[in-house]
Amino acid sequence: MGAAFRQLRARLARTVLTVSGIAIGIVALVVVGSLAEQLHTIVSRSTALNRGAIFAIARGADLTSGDAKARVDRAIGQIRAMSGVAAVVPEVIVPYRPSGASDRFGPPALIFGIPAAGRALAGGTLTIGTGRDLRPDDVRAAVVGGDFAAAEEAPVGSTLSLYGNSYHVVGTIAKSFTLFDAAVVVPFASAQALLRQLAPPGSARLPNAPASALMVLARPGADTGLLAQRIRFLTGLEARDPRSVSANVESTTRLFDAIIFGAALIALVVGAISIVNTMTIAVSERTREIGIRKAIGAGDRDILAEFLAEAVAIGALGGLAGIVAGVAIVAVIDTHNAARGDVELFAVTPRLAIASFLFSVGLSAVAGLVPAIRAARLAPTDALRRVA
Amino acid sequence: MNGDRGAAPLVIARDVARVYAAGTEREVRALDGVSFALERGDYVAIVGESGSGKTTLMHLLGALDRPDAGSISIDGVDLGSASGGQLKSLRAKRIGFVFQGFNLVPSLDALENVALAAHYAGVPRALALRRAAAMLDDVGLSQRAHHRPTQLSGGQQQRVAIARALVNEPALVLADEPTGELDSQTANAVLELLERLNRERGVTLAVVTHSEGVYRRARRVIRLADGRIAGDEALARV
Repeated sequence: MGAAFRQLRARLARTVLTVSGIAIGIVALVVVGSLAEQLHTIVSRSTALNRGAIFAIARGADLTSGDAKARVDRAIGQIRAMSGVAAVVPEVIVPYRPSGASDRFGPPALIFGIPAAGRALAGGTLTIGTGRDLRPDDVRAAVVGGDFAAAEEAPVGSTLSLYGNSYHVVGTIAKSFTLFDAAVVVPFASAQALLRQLAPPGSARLPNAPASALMVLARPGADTGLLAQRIRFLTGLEARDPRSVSANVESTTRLFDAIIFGAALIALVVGAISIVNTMTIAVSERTREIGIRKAIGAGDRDILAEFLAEAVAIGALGGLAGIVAGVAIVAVIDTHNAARGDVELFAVTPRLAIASFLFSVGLSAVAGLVPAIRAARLAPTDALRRVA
Repeated sequence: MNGDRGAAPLVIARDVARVYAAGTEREVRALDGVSFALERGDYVAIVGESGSGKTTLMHLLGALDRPDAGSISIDGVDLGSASGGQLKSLRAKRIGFVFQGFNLVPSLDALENVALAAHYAGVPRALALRRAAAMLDDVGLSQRAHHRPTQLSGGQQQRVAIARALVNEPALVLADEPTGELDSQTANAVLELLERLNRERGVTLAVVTHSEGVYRRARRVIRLADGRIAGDEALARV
């Protein structure tokens, strides 16, 4: 391999150009690949967080309006009575900003209120990063996501204003790559108070315990599709089978993967063509040298290995340069985003880096194969007749 | 000394023919009915005009090509029936090449150029480098072992090429116009080196040349004309 690098150094300008071609392709692969990796992380963490729960949301008549308490209580009772249901947890989810508008990249910031009993079930995959979790006796206390804390400058100990009400930030949630990174979690009763505050005029006489959604946890082995159908039929609430939701998400991420990897592949194929070109020129220039090598005892396999080693060396250099440049680019973008409290877009995982490197080397070997075979098959007598 | 395989000649050529573009209008009979034998330890010059078949004969003697008719055997290996692997092994272990243009690999230093031939003969790297160093010492270039070809004079490059040709202790060394690109003083030094190696190591030396000054130094001259042997004579050393 040392001899291959020396051959490449001997033709430095050409080597740099060819290596750059491969490196650009690998940069594209690393950037879009890390985007896909991050997307997969977000999807898988969010799926894990929901634990296959069915979310039942009011359609038309709001759970928050009119005889909301009766409606919520009745729905909870009906759903609990269904076979296959393990628990029903009322939730309050309201937007952090009244308009729902967001100046950050990523999901909108939301305020969650989940009863203490439900938090243990629903929030099992979330952990506290700094400070502490909410306690049952907490009033006007909040735990915020890391991205939210950065974006709204709301660290532990600070005071947060939610629709004119002051909340004391007691903890932050460790990075979870879910909606909760941009969320504010407040005690359930506090969230219900916010919901009442936000209720439209005319529904002033709100009951004490409204909710904006019901999280239905199914027993293991229960048919969630059938459960969702029953919830829709019996309660009139909108309920979707989490399996069909995740199937939709998966097919969307698969399509996304195909598009971005396709784009990266095109960039790499262009790089590979430049390797074919470079190696073809190298074989042509060194035809007499090939003849000399054969005359002094090199076999076809020796020549094949020497030229393949050069192509592989180009791939290895291009791969390394591309990975370093790609990591640098995504680090700059993510650092910028993190400072604004935006979602981190990229995840350069070890498997992505290793796969990119191996792909670069493998593609280069394939690209170098045809010129290398041509070199190996040169008749030594023809090669020696070539004027040096 | 190279491995002496008894009294049998090192090279036996019988009615050798080599025809290019056979059966076409451009057909060329480069060699036509050539027969000769080279004894072990021989020092022979192969001479002739351009197009007389010298290069074709050298390619056959170097096991780089096979005859179209007749037979040629080198160190007991018949070129016509040998496998590709056998020819490669013959080139790597039993034959050494010295070319007119030196033809060293430019990216390798002198030591590595010599070791390359040992590497192709299957010698492990450390041993190949030790043998190459000893061979460079023998041709008086141990001080230049780590110089690239471009950092060496023509005479020094040719001495590296000679060291490369001899590192595997071949039975036969083929030198194609070995002094063609050297001044007369350097040419004389290179020929003296080849002749000393022929004398001391018993290696068979075949020099292809146009130069009368070169071929007059051999013990035997084979003259080629139009692909045939026009003369084969023993010379008294001057």
